[in-house]
Amino acid sequence: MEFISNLSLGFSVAFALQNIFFCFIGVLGGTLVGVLPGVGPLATIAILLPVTFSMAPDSALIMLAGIYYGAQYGGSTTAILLNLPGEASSAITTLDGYQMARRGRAGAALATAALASFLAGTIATVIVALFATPLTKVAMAFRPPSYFSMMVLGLIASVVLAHGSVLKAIAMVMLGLLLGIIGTDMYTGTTRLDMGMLELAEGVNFVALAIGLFGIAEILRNLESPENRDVLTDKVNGLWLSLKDLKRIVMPSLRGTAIGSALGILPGGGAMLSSYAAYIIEKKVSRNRGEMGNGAIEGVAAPEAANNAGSQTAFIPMLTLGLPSNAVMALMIGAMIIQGIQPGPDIIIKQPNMFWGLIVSMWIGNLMLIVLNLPLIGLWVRFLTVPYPVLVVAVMAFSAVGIYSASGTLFSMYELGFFSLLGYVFMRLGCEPAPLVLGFILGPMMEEQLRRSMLMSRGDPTVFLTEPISLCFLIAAAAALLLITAPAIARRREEAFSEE
Amino acid sequence: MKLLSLLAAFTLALAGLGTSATAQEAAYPNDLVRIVVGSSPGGTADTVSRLIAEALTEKFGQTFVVENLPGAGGALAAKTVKTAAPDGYTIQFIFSSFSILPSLNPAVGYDPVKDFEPIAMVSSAPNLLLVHPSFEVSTLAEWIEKVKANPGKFDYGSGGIGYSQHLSMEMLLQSIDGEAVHIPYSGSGDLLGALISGQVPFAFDTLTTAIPHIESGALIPLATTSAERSEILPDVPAVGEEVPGYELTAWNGFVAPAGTPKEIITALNDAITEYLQSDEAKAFFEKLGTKIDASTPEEFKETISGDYEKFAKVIEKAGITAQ
Repeated sequence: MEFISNLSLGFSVAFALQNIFFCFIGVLGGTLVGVLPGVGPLATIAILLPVTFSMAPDSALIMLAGIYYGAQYGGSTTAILLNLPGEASSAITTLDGYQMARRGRAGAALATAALASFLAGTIATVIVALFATPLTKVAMAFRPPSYFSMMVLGLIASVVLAHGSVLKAIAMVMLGLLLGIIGTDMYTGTTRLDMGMLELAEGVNFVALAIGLFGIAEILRNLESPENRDVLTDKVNGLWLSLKDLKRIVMPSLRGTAIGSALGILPGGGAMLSSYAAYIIEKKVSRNRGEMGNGAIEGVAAPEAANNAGSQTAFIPMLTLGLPSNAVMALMIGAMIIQGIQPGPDIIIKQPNMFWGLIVSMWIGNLMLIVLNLPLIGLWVRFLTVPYPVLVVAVMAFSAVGIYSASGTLFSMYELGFFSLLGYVFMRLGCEPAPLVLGFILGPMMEEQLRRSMLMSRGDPTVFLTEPISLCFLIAAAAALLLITAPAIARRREEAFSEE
Repeated sequence: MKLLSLLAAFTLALAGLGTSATAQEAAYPNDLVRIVVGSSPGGTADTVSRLIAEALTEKFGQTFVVENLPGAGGALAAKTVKTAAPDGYTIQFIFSSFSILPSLNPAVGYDPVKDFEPIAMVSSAPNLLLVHPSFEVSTLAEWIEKVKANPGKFDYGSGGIGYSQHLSMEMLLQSIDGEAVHIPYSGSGDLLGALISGQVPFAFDTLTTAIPHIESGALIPLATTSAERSEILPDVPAVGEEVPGYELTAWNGFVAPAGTPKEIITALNDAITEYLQSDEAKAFFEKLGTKIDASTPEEFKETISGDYEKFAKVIEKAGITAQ
């Protein structure tokens, strides 16, 4: 019954009045910065870091963690309402979330995101509490070839992201991979495709790319014809989910939670991929997969659950090994070190109050978030009734401020402008930006692991087949390739006889 | 960041840490001072610079604001500060890579010695040579013997090409005439994971992050790169004890654009060194695991130019210059 006593210790810490207070401040702050496009949890936590120096370690971490997962909640709000993904993980939510909003189901989409996130958060908390230590060992077994093969599988599966032409989707993935190449080659220090601009030495600004391609491009398109935007403000009915909707989101949420929890543990940026992976899998297994991309509620539930679960299990390698799986986790480690706590294998024994307190606070934080967010849905949705010209100006201003604040360079504004126009061109050409974004994220990670594997094997490519985990992923990738191409070949034969 | 800075300033004031403006009249500064930091918000460099910015704000009664300008490993910040007006209202918080980058990539467009006026060094920390237990050596002498007997057979990790972890190893390999394959990781956190899981058998890394893994037995410390043994790990010898002349520390501090008036440099140096002697600063740096290393502008200049020359040689010999 160690588990029970640990949890009760956690509850006693997390329910201390000051910790409840800081947890609330954290999730509230997180929700707010999540809603502002471009201002992410990273910048917020960084700015607030000095404030935590004078706080008790457990309160400090509880607040910072609250900002982090609070922002995951808030981030989906703009993705759904305005097609504005503030972060890598919410880009995928725009696909069905924004479509739902256009059909007057913004309220339902927001409620789905909140409920799926809550369910995922609850389950992930239990997973962290029960399996933190053994799961760390699994993560450590992942070597460079395994990471590479996992991403090969991801890239092949990403073709299903397209809900139009497969050829165009492949072209967009390729373009994303190319954009990902821009910047400094981490193995030689040589800058690539930077056209002599020092600003590009660390690659293309992701937030500018995502907000430009999705959000601003959508605004440009809406400005084209007044009818388009009327759809948004037309009718905002069904703030609440019907019983049928609830039934439809249970399984996708659970699947998303499982995928997110698993990927979140991997230190190689797994949490970032979780929402994409969940969406891709949902598109293959869901009973309503035909609707995905056109406002299917599953397309919101699965990635939202996955990114929330992933952001919580990402705490496992951070707490037990001091390994950050993303930049926010790296900041948290910084915060702990300044508090005199060194994350590491013995943290559970040395700092049981902080460890269990933090875990229980995550669940409390999730509860607060749902209480906070459900009543707010009505308010958010009312934003859509703001006169369009006003809304557009506000959105563009906030996006620009957010992006500028994170990069501090005027160059990022040019990037935003460039990707906004590019996004508009893509829209006119019927090319979807989602595969591009996935390629952009996966490309550099894949290259890093591929070249590391090859360096370590001294150029012997068979390592990908001799590593058991890697081999499994490659077999799965081959199977996925077959599944994707087989029906396409069959269909093409039929299509050859019918008109397009 | 302006918006967030305001928010933060407001929160700070609420938390009782706010700035108590002393209304003393002084020639400098009579306006806001920008501290440019070439890294993202939240890293060690950023945290230290914010701490000192707060102390300077309190001391001078003028706001010292930290401006993050990440990009090109800090080169973007240096290039910006180089061309700023040398009036003391733009200064930069720099770290070791400042004197390494120009040798790695001449295109960064600044000279660490000629283009800047050093103000003061703030702190320094050594790297630690760490090995995975499976590598089966327990002293530096054994490690040297094993590496020399197997040229090019072993891998070593670093936080990235040209990082001090990388150059620490290159310098050591060059001194002992050994060979090993460099595997860069993306940052220290990533490297630590690779070391613990045994992906790479050995690497140099910062002392602070390695301590818990040394205590748990996951990693074995062989030697420290500082000239003398570290107070935190007195049993671990300095590399210099085995390889005479070897010394390397990662440091940070403040510089201003070349041509900044001497009085301003002195005023800033006085304020910074005064703060670094306070108990608050001592407690902070102790937690961070780095040593306060306040210096005069002249001493700091020597460190910067000394490192610049030393690393230029190591980089040239290792053939790791870009393009």
